[in-house]
Order: sequence, then structure tokens, then C-alpha cells
Amino acid sequence: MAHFLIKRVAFMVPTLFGVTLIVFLMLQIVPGDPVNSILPPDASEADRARMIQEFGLDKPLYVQYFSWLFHIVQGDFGRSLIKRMAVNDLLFESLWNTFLLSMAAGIVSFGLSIVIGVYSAYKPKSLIASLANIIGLTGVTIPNFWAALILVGVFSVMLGWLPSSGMSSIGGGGPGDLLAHLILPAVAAGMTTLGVMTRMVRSTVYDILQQDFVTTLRAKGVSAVTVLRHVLRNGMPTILTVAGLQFGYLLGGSVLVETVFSWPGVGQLIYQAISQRDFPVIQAGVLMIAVLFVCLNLIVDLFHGMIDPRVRHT
Amino acid sequence: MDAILEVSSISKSFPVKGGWGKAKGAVSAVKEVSFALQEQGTLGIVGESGCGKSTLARLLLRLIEPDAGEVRFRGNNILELKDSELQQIRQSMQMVFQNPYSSLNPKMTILDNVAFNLWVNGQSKQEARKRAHYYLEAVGLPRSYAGRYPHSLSGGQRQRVAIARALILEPPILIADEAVSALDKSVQAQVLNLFQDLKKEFSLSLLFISHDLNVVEYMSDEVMVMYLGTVVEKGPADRLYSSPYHPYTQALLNSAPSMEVGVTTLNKHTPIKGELPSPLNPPSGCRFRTRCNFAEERCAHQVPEPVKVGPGHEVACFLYETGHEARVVS
Amino acid sequence: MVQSNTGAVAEKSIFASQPKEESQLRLFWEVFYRNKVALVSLIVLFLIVASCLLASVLAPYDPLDGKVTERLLPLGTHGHILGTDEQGRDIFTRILYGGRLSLLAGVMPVLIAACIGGFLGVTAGYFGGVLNTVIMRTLDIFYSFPAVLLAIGISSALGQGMLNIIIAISIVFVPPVARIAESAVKGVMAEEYIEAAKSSGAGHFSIIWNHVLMNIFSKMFVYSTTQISISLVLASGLSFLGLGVSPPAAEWGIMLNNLKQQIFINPMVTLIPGVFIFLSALTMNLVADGLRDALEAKK
Repeated sequence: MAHFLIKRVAFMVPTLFGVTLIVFLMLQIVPGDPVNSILPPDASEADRARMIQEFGLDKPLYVQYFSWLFHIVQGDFGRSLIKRMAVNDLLFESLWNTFLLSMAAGIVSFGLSIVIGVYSAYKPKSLIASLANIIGLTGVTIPNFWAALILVGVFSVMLGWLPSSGMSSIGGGGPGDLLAHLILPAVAAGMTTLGVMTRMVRSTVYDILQQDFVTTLRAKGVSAVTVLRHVLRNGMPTILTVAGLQFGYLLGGSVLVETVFSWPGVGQLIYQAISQRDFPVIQAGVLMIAVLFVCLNLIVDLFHGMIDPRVRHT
Repeated sequence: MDAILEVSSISKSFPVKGGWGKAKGAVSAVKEVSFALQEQGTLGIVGESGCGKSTLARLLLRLIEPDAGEVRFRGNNILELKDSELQQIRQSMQMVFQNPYSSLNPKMTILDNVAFNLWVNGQSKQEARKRAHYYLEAVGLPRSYAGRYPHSLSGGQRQRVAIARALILEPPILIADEAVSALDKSVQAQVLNLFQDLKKEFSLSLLFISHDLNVVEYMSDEVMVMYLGTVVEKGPADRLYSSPYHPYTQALLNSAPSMEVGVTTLNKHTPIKGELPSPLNPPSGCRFRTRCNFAEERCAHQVPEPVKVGPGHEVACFLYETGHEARVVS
Repeated sequence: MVQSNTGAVAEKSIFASQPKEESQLRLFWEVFYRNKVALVSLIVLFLIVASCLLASVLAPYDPLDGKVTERLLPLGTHGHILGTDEQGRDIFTRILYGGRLSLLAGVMPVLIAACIGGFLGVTAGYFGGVLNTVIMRTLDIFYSFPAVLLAIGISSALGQGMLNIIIAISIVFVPPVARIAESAVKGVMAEEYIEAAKSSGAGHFSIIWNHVLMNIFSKMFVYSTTQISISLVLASGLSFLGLGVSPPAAEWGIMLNNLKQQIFINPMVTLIPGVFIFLSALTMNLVADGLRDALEAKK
């Protein structure tokens, strides 16, 4: 087990290296001169030259890469080109907001999927089971930005129950206000996860129910609640593994939902930075999410290795 | 007649990798095996699973590269051929594999499975298919089968296709690696007779590998017995079966079910003691010594050289050092 | 020449009455027909695709022409069955024309990724060794990015336009396709007919072309078809973010973007483009499921 652990963690290092390389290269292929987009068109040659030097753009590519990497590792993501602040300040607050959103989406979809999934595994011919089918299919195919718009259309415009954008009302608000702002985005963001998890929970629990030990338990006259407890304990490892991975997708895919709801998260930050060509922000945002994703995958893998010995020996 | 194939001291071991890719040890699959296959003769190679016979077959075809040794086909050492000259091996020997369910491409018709061997060697597809029809007929499959797919054929029929595929390149040597082991007994008999007929018709030299002693006896002129990668005894089939010299051969033959009515094998001798040693760590010296009733001190320190005990009959055992001792029966 | 004790003649008489070999293709279609859901989905999908392809024939208006006085007319307005958008352009027309780009962006990346990913996966699986490690580990790095993020990153780096979206999604799809191909090829390489092919003197290309490709095809096909609906949704998502066509061009994603501000005025109209994205993705998904069931049925 220790061997597996060490090997897996060791693999992370070149992976992270590769990730930073790709993020760096991604912005190198942007057509056009980054300096041009910052300076006004009538800037003098001297101004241009100074700017190029300031950003180290005259140095060879690998030098730029390593000096950027050097700063990153120390936590210095540079300064935003547009907003004239340190990227760190922008970044960490928005990361937290995205995390909040993803957690909410995760809890909602995870909770619902377990309830619906388990029920439909127990009663495969019921109405709920058909509902589970529909949820499973819809969740996976529906574009989440469209679902977001529907939710806004129904709950904000037509019914007026919930706010349609932002994280809090003007003038600030308490936790209740935050919750009101959180519900719609969380539901929209969580739809795909709900679909995937419902299908997965249902098939996992269904398979477990077919096993002999369940029949034995029932024959022994054990209460249904206890049986359920055993079933869940059996299925949790697989379910949690998938849930962990899905959380990663939530983090990464938040951009679309955040844009619709103007939710001040990393996704929106990246998106705005793209339209403003604010490269340090784009780089930092994409990189942070990717790093989080890699770490999350590592945790999930280790967890998987812990519970399923076969994985350790691939 | 001369030997069409001469193999001298061929060896192969496979490194076993540890967790980080470093070599942890090696499996000595084949160690210094030598033998000769006579023109239009049949050499049977027999031994337990894991004795290296299948690896040996692949070494001859150079599907796996040997570590050491020589393989001479009609005098030419085929191990020295460069990649571009490997064609010569293809034309000289072909193999029929063990598993009828994985030795044919399920997505190709059986005609194409056979014809493929020819059209990759330069013939046009049309020509290749024509020849394929000829060979399918030669193995006894009706013409109507040509357009079928392997999944609609029985195991025995698939093996016939595999044989046709091996024959289409007209190799003088045919290697049958456990070719009938996966078939029912009744079908086995048919396929074995097919081998005999084809051998006569196409003047083949046959290398017949099997763990089934009765099958090998039926098919072979000469027999070679292998144990854990080494040759323990070889000689003419009738002599070897009637008076085996090596303790392992004796034990093997004694444990074979007898076809004679009224003869039980159980009270003939004591069974071979012990378990097959791990090929990762074969016993030093004579590899059979850990299970041999006659093992001595020196069996652990020296590897017995083959000694002649009769015309064409050799044994690798210290019991017969000078070649004139009487046969020891276990 | 054939002796009767080889059993060949005996076998012939036993099997003389066997029915003609069923074509694998026919069996496939039979199973598919029986799947009503998949069949209906196929019809709906076909209608959508056909309408978009025939946009120039079916559309009543010019997709770029709009009268501002007629903006945001509701559904069912006479002459504008799906209403008008914020510039007064007929939505039905723009749906038909826009669908071409959206559907194209759904299919193209899958095809491109199948070729490139398939090539990489087959190479890695067939040759094994160092080549395999290099290819697969490099692709693994791309796996470390959530797909949406990677697509956004690449397409924004390349610039605006549907072509760049297609390129970005293709790149995102290559690693999973390559993985599927590599694992399928590894399975095939373990079969004895590959050994037989190698001992026949066939070159690598012949073996791959004749023996490997046909045996991994169904796995690849099944996976690629499931990717189409994902690609469609992803492409319209990127377009929704403004990374696709520039206005005033029509495309489902950007239409949704244009209309989203108007949600407070006429919510129904703003949601129409999404309906089509969803419907197309849904039907594609159901058809893909049906295809997969049909392909696996013959086993």
C-alpha cells in the first residue's frame, strides 16, 4: 500500500509540471501581441519597449516559462493587467466562491441522487424509478447554461421568488440572503452531476441487492433499515469515488453557470479575463483549477486504492 | 536422411520487473535445448505445462528472440538473418496454435483468414483466395464454408482452418503447439489423422508439441521429453515409451492412463513426489533433482550432459554417466 | 484425397442442413428496430438535421434581417411561429440556419478526435514499450484538466470562431478516445491470430489494417457516438460564452447569449434555442444508446 501511495504521489510531480507547461503554452499561441492590447494605439516606441521589458517578453520562451514557474511556486501570480491589483487578491476570493457553489451543487445532487437512486434500485418498476431514468438522461444531456436560464425564467421572472444574479443583495445580507442567491445556481450547476450520480447509485445499489448476502440478511429477519445500512456501506466506496470525480468536474465546469448568474467565482473571473485579454489572470485561474483537479484526482485514487486492493497492483 | 532442422543449445530467459522497472529476477524458460528434426519425420515434444515447450516453438519461429544458441534450417542459421531476410523463416516453418477460439480473426471470413498469409507475401488477393480454397479442401472443409465466419465453426473445424492457414505458405516444417489439446477426444482423433494424411501428401516434417503422452506416442517417430526448460531424454518413440531411462520420463509414462484392459497404473510405482519448482528459481544443477528418488549430492552442483544409451537415444542423467549402465527403474 | 477417418465427410453431412449464415448487419438492424425509443429519436433527429440542411428552402426570412419595431414578438405570432429576437429577426429562420453550425460543431470534433485519437491509441497499443509510455503519459496530462475548462482555454487562446471551437473540442476529445483505442488494441494483441499473422511475415501496417482495426471498431464506434451529444452541448456552451461566431451570424449558442438579457421581457422566446440544443443532444444520446445495445446484442 505504501508503495502504491508513493508511486501515485510521485506521478503527480511530472503531471503538475505538464499542467503548468500546457497552461503556459496555451497563452503563447494567442495570436497577436499582448502588449498591443494593453497599450493605447498611439503609444510611442519607447513605451512599447519599456513594457516589453517590464513583462520580460523579450526573453526566450523557456526563460519566461521558468521565471513564471518560479513565481507561481512561491504563490506570486503577478499583477492583473486590467485591474491593477495583485492576481492573488482576485483569485482566492473567487476560488472560495466557486468552491461554495460547487459544494452546494454537490450536496444537493449527491443527496438527491442517493435518495432517488436507492429507491429506484429497490423498486425498479415504480414511478420513482421511471423518474430516475428521466433524471439520469436529462441531467447528462441538458446544457447547464440553458437549465440555468430556465430556472431564472421560472423562479425569478415568472414567479419572482428568487434573485437572478449575484451572490448577495445590494447592501449586503445575511446567510438567508446568501442561500436565496445560492439555490438556483447550485441546482443548475448540479444537474449533470445529479444525472450521472442517480444512474450510478441506482446501478450500484441494484447490483448489491442481487448479491447473496442480502438474501441471507433478509432471511435472518433483519430489519429493512439494517439491510439498507449494509447495502450502503457496501456501495459507498464506489459511489464516493465517483462523487469525488464529479466534484472535480463541478469545479471546472462552473464557468457557464457563473456567467448566467453573475456569480463571482473563478469561472467568471476567467471568462472576464478572456474578453479583456488579462493574461496573468487567465493563467492563474486555469492553473489553480487544474491543480485542484489533479489533487482531487489523487485523493480519489488513493481512496480507491485503499478500499479496492486490485487497483494497487496495476 | 539428413536433419531438416538442427537446434543447438538454445536458451531464453525472461526478466521479471520489480515495482520500479528494475529487474527482480529472471524466469529461465528454455535452457540449452538441442535437438534435430529429420526430413519428413515427426518429432514429438512432451512435458508438463510450464516446461518451456511453447516458448521453444516461438523461439524457432523468432516470434521471441533467443538469448543464445543456433537454429539451422537445412544448414543455414536462421538466427543470424537480418530483419529483411526473415522471409526465409516464414517460408520454412509455420505453426498451428493451441486455442481454436483465438487463433482465427473473428472479423474475417475463413477463406480470408487462410488467404491472408499469402497476399501479405506478394500474391494478389484473387490468387491468394484461389490457393486458399485448395488448402481448405485439403483439410476437409467443404467449399461452402469459405464465406463463413469463425464463430459459426466448431473447435475442430477451426483447427482445420488454422492448419490450412499454416500450409498455404507451403512450409516444409509444420509446428503443432498443443494443436489438439483444446478439442474433444473424438475430434482429436480426426484432426490427428488429418495431420498424418497432410504430412504424407505435402511431405512435411512435423514438430508435434503436447502434454498428452498418448497423442505424442501416436504421432511421433522420435520423442523429446522436457522438464522445466531442459531436455531430460530424447529418442525413438518406440524405445522411449517401452524402456524410458530418465526417472522423470519413467514417472511420466507410468502415470499415464493405460489403454490396456486390466492394467491399472496406480500400483506400478510411486508417484512423482513434490511440486513443480518455481521457474523463477529453478533448482541448481539438474533441475529434476528436487523430485527425483535417485538424487545425489552432485546433482545439485553439476548439470548432467546428455549421454547416449542407444541408437538415437540420449538421456541427461548422472545415473547413466558412461552410457553403459543398465537401465534403472523407479 | 480426403479420407473418411478424418471425419471431414461425416461433418459435411451433419452440417449440410445448416441455415445460411446470417449477415451481422441484418442482425444489428433487427435489434435496433425493436428499440422504439431509439427509433423515435432517430426520426426526430433526422427531422432536425434535414430541416437545418434545407434551411435555404424552408426558412421564410433572411436570418440576418430584422426590424427593430418587431423585436421580441412572442411565440405563435402570425408570420413568426417561434417569435422574434432582440433585433427583430425571425427566430425560426435563425434556428434553421444556426443549426447547421451547431450540428457541425457536434459532429466534426468527434470525427477528428476519432482519427487522431485512434491513430495514437493504436500506435501506443500495437507497439507498446517506450512509445506507449510516452504517448499515454503525455495524453494523461491533458486529462488533468476538466474538459470544459480545457476547451475554454484552448478556444479562447485560438480566438473567436466556430472553427476554433471545433479544434478546441477535438483536442479535448483526443485523450479519452486514445485511451479506449489503446486498451482495445491491447486486448486484440493478446489473441493468437496476431501471433499467427506475425509469423506469416506480414508487416506492421498489414497486421494493423487487416487484423487490429476491424476488431476494435465496434468499441471505438460506440464511444464516439456517445461523444457527439457532449460535443454539441460543449460547442454551444463555448459559443454561449462568446467564443463562437460573431454577431449577427446565427448559431444556437450565441442566440441564447443574445437573448438572455431579454429574459425579463419575454422569457419563452429566450429559451427556444436551448430547446433545440437539448432536443438534438437528447435524441443523439438515445440513438447512440440504441446503437450500442444493437452492437452488443449479437454476442
